[in-house]
Amino acid sequence: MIPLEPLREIAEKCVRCGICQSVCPVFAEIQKESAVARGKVTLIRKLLLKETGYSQKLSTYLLQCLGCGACSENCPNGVKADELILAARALMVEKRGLSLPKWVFLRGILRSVYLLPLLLKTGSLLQGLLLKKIPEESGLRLRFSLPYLDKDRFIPTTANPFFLDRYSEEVKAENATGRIGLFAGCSINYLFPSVGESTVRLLIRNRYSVAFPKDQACCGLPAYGSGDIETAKSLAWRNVEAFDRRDLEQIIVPCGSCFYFLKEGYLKLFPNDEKVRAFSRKMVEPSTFFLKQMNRSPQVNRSQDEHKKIRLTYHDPCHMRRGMKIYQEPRRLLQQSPEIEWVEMKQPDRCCGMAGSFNFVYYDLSRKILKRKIDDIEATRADCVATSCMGCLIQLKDGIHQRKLDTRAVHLVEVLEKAFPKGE
Amino acid sequence: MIPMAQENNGRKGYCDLDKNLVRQIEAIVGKENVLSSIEDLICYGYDATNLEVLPGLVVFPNSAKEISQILILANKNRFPVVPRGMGTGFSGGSLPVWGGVVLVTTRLNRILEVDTENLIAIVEPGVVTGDFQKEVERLGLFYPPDPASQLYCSLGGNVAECAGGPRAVKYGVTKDYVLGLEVVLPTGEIIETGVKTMKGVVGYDLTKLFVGSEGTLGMITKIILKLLPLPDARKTAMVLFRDVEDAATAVSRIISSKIIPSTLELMDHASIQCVEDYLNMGLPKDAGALLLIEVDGDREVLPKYMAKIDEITSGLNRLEMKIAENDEETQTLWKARRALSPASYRLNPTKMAEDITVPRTEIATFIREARKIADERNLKIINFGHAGDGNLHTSIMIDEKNGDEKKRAEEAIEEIFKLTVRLGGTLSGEHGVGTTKAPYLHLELKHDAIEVMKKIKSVLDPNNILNPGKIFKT
Repeated sequence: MIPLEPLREIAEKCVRCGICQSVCPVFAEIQKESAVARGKVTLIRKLLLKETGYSQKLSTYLLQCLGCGACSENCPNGVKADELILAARALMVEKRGLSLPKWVFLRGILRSVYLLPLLLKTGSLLQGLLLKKIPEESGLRLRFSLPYLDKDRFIPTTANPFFLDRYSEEVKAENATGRIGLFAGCSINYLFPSVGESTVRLLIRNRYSVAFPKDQACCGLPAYGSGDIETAKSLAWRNVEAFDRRDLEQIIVPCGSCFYFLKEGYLKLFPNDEKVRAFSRKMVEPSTFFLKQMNRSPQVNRSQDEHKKIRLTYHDPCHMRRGMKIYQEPRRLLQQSPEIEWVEMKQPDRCCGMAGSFNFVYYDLSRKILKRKIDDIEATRADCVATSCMGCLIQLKDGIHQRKLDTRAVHLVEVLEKAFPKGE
Repeated sequence: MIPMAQENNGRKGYCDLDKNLVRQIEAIVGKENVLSSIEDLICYGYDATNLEVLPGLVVFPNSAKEISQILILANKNRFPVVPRGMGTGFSGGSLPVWGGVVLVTTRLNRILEVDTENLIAIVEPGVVTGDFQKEVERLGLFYPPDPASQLYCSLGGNVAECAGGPRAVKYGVTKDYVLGLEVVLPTGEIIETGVKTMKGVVGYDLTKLFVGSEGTLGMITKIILKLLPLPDARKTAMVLFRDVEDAATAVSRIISSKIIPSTLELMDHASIQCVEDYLNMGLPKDAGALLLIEVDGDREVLPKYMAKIDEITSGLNRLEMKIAENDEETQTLWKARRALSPASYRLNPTKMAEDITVPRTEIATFIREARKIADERNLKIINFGHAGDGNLHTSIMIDEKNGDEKKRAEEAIEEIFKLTVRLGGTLSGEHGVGTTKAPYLHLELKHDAIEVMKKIKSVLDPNNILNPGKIFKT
């Protein structure tokens, strides 16, 4: 049972001033009170007061939120609306259960050790039938529209083999100075192994041996975001155990959303668990980690010859910017590179509209939110837009592909590899 | 249970919104622009006051014509219609207190024209004030009214309530910028008022009648606004005083020295203490008052203004003065003022916020007396606001769960209103009467004046369908 009193306290702090209307990306598109924090907070308060019921409508409205946290960040009264909305989703699941597609995906597929890889392997064999290659990107698009999937949409190729299958349990660096675990997450493991491979090469270059517990699972954030606490807990525990057995001091997580959930979310799932606390402390993410490495052994600056620099901009993932307050680190890191011409986009911390399953349930809305992000990216005339969350990356690739921009969306670690050529 | 407006819906002579009526309204605006689920109704039953009621239906019209059709329907069947912009008002002006249809203007949100030669703009009511300001500033122009909610309130709401803001001391309030309007009358006629020129005296000034009429006389569908050239630069200073009297004297002397600052914000002792406890930013807790002063205009002349202000305030019991040298320092100076709202909720969870206005020279007396009124009733009070124009946000912070605190606060507020009138002031500088101040109208206005207002209302709205239950005690 979810304790209601703390939720009531958060809800009662809202004085309905309406400031959230000025920062909510969803409200900017649909302009209805139910879309914005003060409406949702009011509805949750009424629910807790038992003045309204656990209706389908309420469930729909609760899901119509990116969880980007812009409302909480700007609330003069410190109302943590995003957290309240997540908790209310869990309440809804407790009372009403999950919708059938979500139940199948979260409880059936995501939670199973074998089913997700099996399905994706089968998928990778069949993808040629349904999809055709996008020449300029390592992606696909549909040959015809399907439910939930638009024809023009960028769809990542299923990796073959999966990322974790490309390595043994541990890759040793020459003259290793340290050892680090790697949490891949679903997107890197099944869709973008190149991001994981870049991370591994960077680590090896910095003389770290890398360990890959093969029994790691999905971080659980998709389940948590849908209010399925049970599945989130089961996945979380599997990860805690998997890494615990390897005796590692640090664990690097390239995806910002996974990182946020592993480091912060798990503490909420298991508030007083010492093992989870120790696990959380071990989490590191690339920008902070490599910035520290660089300060330890400054890279040799290549002479600033006539070679063309990469004009680069950076999109702040919500989970990093507002979740972890990490936004200076990637900038400090990238701005040091002799290969990069830095350009800041307007509102780099505005949500891209992906937000996990939000993108599937509200694809049109997600696309409208994305449009503004792509406008801002286009205005920078950057060669590359880097980000550090796999969800954002997929979303940006989709937007750029549909707009037919020359800009490439890449993960931070992929830039780092090029931005700091191996010292002589 | 929710304090149901539905119960009031039965108010004599008004009909319920039955299926048939809903269908007719859907036929006018389109089904997708009508909301009727309980969840949606809850979301349109509040504004920035702490009141909650429940409308019968929420409707998003697309044009003046559609609004006209709805109002004709409302007269024929007699149901209340309540205009709503962004729902950020502080007097309950957009609350459907008698139920009925809430007409939301968010779909009417186009800037129709910005005329850079004649310095006017024509906008629809749903345009967000801050968006409009950004747009005209891009063109080197300036729309000064700056209510605290400028980033999330609408121009239609600003006009209906005659919103003000810190810049009022120099630039005036919304009514000083409205040249003309398109209004749908409660009986459905669409009229145009005013002019597109700086001058115009043909006929009665109906524009001024509708500005500040709180959505009771007509629904505004187009606004012609006057613009100014954008000032070249601005400069900010913060001055702390031993006593609030010194701050008040400073305000008068600055203005009589022929410098009109674009902002002259005051915080009293309790407000300073409250922010300092919250932020620990190093404000002297024994300070009696803080003034935030901003001057704008030609870049060259601003340092001279600041020197003059320095000279004036140094002759008073001043604790310190800081002048911002760049944007960052300006933001730091504004920090205390901006933090006041969240900080105040640490005193108590509910704010009873008023916006009385007194002559500038009476500010110190008002603050002293208001504090006495609160102290006598053992209530927490903070005073802050736009000292330059005497508009003070006197706020009593209460905990409704704490015995009869709410009752005591209501008593105190009535006393504060009486004090305001005694000092030659007005009950509301910029929030409007709405529902929250309706019971006190007679404290300020004479019976005959109220009767004239009621007559105007009944001529324009014979069936009392447009925003009923507002301004006048019922």
